[in-house]
Amino acid sequence: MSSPAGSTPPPGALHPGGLRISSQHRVRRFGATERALHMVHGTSFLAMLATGFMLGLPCMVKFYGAEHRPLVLDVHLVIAALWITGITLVLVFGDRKMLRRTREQFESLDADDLRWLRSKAARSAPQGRFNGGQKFHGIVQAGLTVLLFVSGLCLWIGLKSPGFVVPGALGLHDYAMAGAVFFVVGHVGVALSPKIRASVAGMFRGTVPASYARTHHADWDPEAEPLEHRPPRTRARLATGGVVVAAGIAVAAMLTTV
Amino acid sequence: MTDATDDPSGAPIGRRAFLGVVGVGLTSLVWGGAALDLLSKATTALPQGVRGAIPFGQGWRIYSVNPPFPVFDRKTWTFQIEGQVEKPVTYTFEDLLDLPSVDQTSDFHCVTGWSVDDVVWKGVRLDDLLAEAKPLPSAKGLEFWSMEAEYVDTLTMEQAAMPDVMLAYEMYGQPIPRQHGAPARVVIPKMYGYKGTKWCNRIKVVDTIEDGYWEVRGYDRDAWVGDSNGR
Repeated sequence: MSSPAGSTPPPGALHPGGLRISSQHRVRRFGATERALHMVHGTSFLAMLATGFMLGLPCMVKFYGAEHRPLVLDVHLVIAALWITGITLVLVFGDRKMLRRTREQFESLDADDLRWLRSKAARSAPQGRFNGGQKFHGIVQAGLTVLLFVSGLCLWIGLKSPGFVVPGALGLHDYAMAGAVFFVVGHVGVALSPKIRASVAGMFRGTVPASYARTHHADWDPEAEPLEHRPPRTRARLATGGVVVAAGIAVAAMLTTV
Repeated sequence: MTDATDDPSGAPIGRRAFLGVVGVGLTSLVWGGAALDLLSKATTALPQGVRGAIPFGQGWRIYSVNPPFPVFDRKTWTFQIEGQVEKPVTYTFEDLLDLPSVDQTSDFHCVTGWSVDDVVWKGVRLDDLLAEAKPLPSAKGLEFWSMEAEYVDTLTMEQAAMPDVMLAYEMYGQPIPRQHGAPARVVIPKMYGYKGTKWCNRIKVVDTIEDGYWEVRGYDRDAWVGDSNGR
């Protein structure tokens, strides 16, 4: 019925869901919705990190001049608005069922995964679509993202309505940022290591070589993954997208201070 | 070691781990400010260059309410003292420098949660600043007006008489930089930074104290460090 990543399907074969296996023996690992979400979140995070460093690191002030700090803050806030807008658009136009499945796969983190994280010896055990490290990273990053959003919101409200003072908001924003940077550096560092560089291509192209999947995710059956279903672009969905974009622009304008 | 595509061998803990990260993180809204202070203090042993390159290190975060920052022109700048006084006075910057000056080193605390320890200031005590104008017995407080439009804050006469309150014109041995309020700003170490009007060029002695810029927007009028604004 299905062939696990450990076997190589013939070139041009169709798996039951209709996915054509390329002649280079590549298998689908990430759908367009997942890649779009990763791209929106990743680029927004890096842009907010850059502007956040400019705001939060005293040594950076001399590079842009303290009088431009309000402008940098505005850019930071506008990127935050675009980030939320982008993620909402992915949810509107993307395959939410696939995202739910991906979330469930991350949430399947268990004791075996933690053993995989702790012990190199345990890493020879076959992995599913996400290994223990990827699941752990995804869960922690998701948590830190929530914390960055909440603390950033508190800071912004405090800026606009000083009666709303949350003394720990700045600390939480800093701690969550430091934690997120730590994990992102590890995430990118591991992704760029020669052994698993193919996984980076997977995030851009959606596919990875079958040999890579066999080696690193032997317990994963690509053919058991449901095909991505992109919802039709109905008028209602396009209208919703338009409302999201308009709301994003309105929020961005509201957030700015200059 | 498997995921949802397979039968997990152990009980999944992913959701609990996520909620744990969020839950523990949210508790820091209560203790995070104090922890940030401790971390900031812990960095004082590091060289200044290193402290400036870490978010927990001590450093200024500059705020203004109506950018761009006001520009100081030494030739035309004046400092006015008016209101409930015997004689309104206008000082030039040179006049200000001629008044008795003091140096002090004090900590600076922002209401948003960050602090800078051991800031070196030089300036004029308010008693000396007001000596020529002579506040009337009806005077109840001082309004400090900024060149930055609309910004004003207030102190009672008793608060203004605290021994470490000053109108500063030097910071770390140099003229106060533009972003810190050049050429003169109010320094009140026992209160949060929003009470220290930057780009200050006018004191109005008043018989009725009104809320300042941030107080109208919700901050406490008496901004004692550690004992106001919800702390």
